[in-house]
Amino acid sequence: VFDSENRRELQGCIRSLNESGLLAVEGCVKRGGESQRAMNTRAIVLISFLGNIGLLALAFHLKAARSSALSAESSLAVSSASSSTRLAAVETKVEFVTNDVTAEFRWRQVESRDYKAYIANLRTIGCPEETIRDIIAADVTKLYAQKRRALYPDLKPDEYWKKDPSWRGVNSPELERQTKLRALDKEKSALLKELLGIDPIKERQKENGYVDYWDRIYGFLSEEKQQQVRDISDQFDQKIQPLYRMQMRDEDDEKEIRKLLREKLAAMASVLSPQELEQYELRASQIATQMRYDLDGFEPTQQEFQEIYKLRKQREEDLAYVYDQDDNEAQAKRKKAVDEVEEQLKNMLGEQRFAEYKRAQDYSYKELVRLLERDNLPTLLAAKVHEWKTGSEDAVKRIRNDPSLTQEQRNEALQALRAEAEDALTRQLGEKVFSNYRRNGGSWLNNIASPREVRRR
Amino acid sequence: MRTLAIISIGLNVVLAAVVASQWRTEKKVAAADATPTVVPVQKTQSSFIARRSGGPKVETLVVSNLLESNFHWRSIEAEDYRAYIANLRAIGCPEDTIRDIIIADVDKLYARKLAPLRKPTEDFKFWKTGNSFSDYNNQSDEYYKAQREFAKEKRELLKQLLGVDYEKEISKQWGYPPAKDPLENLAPETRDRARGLTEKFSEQQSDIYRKARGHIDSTTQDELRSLRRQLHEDLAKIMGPDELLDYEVRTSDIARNMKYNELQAFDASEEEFRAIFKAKQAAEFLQRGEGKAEPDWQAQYKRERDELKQALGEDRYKEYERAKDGDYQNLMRLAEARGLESTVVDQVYQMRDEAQKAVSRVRSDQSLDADQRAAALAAIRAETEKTVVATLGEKNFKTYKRYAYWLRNIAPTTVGPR
Repeated sequence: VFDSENRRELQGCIRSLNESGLLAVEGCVKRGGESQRAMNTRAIVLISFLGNIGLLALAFHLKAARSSALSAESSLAVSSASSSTRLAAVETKVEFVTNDVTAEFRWRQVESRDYKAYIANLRTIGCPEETIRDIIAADVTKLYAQKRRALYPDLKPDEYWKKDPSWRGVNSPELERQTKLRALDKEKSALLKELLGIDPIKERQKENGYVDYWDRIYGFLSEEKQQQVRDISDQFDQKIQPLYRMQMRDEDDEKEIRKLLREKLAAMASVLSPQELEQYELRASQIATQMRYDLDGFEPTQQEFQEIYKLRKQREEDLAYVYDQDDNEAQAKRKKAVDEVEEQLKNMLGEQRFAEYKRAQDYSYKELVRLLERDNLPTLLAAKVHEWKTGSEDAVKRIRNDPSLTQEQRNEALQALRAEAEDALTRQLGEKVFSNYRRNGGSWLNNIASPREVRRR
Repeated sequence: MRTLAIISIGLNVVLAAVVASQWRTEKKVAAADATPTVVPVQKTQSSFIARRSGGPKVETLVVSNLLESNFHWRSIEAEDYRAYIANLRAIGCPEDTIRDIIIADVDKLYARKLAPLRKPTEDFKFWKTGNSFSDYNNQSDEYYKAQREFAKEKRELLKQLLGVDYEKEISKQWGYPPAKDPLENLAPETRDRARGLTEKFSEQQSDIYRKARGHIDSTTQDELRSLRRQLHEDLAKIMGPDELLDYEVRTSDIARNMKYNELQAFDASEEEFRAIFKAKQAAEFLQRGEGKAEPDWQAQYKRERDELKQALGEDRYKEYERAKDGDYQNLMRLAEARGLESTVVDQVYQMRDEAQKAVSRVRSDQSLDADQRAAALAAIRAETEKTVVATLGEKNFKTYKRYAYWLRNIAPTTVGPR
């Protein structure tokens, strides 16, 4: 039985026990009245005993909770005999932490009809950004796949016998479809950027080593200007492409193409600085693209390319191909322009480089360079063969114009010349390359004498 | 009693220390895991961007108490793909999303394996000549070999993990037309062997194209022909003739060229297409490379042509021959571009035939000297042009003339007023 004083003293002791631990309790015990000492001690033992039980139960509970979490974790991580290492594990060590409610979480709790909410929910559960990008990129791609498929309502891929004019013709529905497909791609990329800050599909393509052709061409521009340039290109290409695809173009069509190209360039000039515009033209214009084909084998320096470009651009109209072979006036005008430009080039490049420039216009020289490159042989051999070719052509002229020769003597001389040329080329190139050259670029040999005549000798 | 009290209190102190220690540990783990307290469901409709499949309509209202505890993505991540997939399934992640996650992850895994072997693409140099093919196909043989091996491994791995075909899955994802497996009707064992052969063929074909660096000359064409023939012969050993034809009309380069180019002016039925394909393939197999052909190629070629004529019938065979003719194709293109009737095409083509017959007569007329012959040919050209102009109209004729080489071949220039 505790009186009120004893009770107050005991409550004080309990407070002290909480606040100061054992020493305070001892102090309390000492302060207790002698007459009550035995009773107090019993009460303290009782309370302390209850404390023992309480603390034991708490410790047990905490331990049990931890074990249960570990057990839930191991039940989720299903092991496999044929284990395959994941990407995440290759890069970073995954800390294997779990909790007791994992198994009860359901995916639908993060699903949302709104991409932004879906992404936010995924972030909230600690889904790595890379995985979020994978999930969203695939989802958005599938969303646009439905739109793409809708553009081909009648597609029957197994009708292999049906003609497919997709890539031909002027009024082909494919043209319109291509425009719509480009617009969908642009929209998709913009959506991904809005949702994720980047276009993960493009990023992944880059990781896979894929380099977009236009990204490469416009790489000198800021991203914003690249987009502007692409938009202008798309806008004009929609008008220009049908004209290019029209395989039966007339002069009016060509004038229209040139007009549209001028307008396109003017539009580019409105968003690019003069230096950027110059770079754009050297990379993307029709003249520059044609020059990269024409000058194959000449290997111009950067400066040479720029100077030749300038000349060709100045005379673009005059140098345009004349389709009508009966239009002698137009043919003569073009020839005059070609001669004038070549004269300017000779002055600019010097004799030696100009001769190399002319050589690079020769089809058979270009073909031989390609053959040699393909077989990893020195392309200098092509220059030697070209010398042989020009020497032989001069000799053919001399023989054909030699009035002292009879027809039979002339034929014999030409056949001998061809045989000599073939022997020399076989020695220079080897049997295999010469055999290929004869069919690819070596047709000038037939202009000396026909192969049948040579074989007959 | 006093001793008992001291022991009991001592025990309390020890237990209190144990409890405090466990409590601290638990708090640390909880702090690490419990970043999510409430899923902040987005309710702002103005920035709502609708998803493809949507998901349950009411789920945005449910804020799970479970999430309030401590679910974290780390608890489902695993080093083993199978464990990862099992964990995703265990939380109810849809199969579609599991496929998206795993395919993307496996894709990146192999891309990074391949990356060290890849030479970077050079910056674009506007003065560098040649085609751009070699800029994009300049990797080492080792790279291409690894690329193929990794592609196979990747396909196998995804098949094992998800039971899906990688290529089909990617096509589906991108909305490409569902491609029918051209080997699907074969018995499983034959299909596997055929697939092995076709894969090997594709690899060799890629090597040839790469070596050609975008320039397909007659030597490259020989190599490709020889490879196609080899595949045909290998497949013929394991497939029946009809099975082989079924496969080849869907996949071979000859068939593709017919579908997309050669037969644009000839609406072939399925039977006609198969007959033409057989004839064309037989003709290709007569070529032996380097401009040479099988010794009796002429007889064989005639036999194939006769068989085709019989299969198509006389009239359709004529139409087929006409459809292959460049002049006829040019007229068709002109008609398409200028909205001309198809009868106009037939009329002009007929004029060409008649002109060529007349030219043939003049050229073989031994009674004419050179000047007389030239004058006769020029007159034929002038007359023909006059008729063609009347049929096509002046403007269309001007366009057509640019491409009508047959007119120039009659005589280099016209005589008399036009």
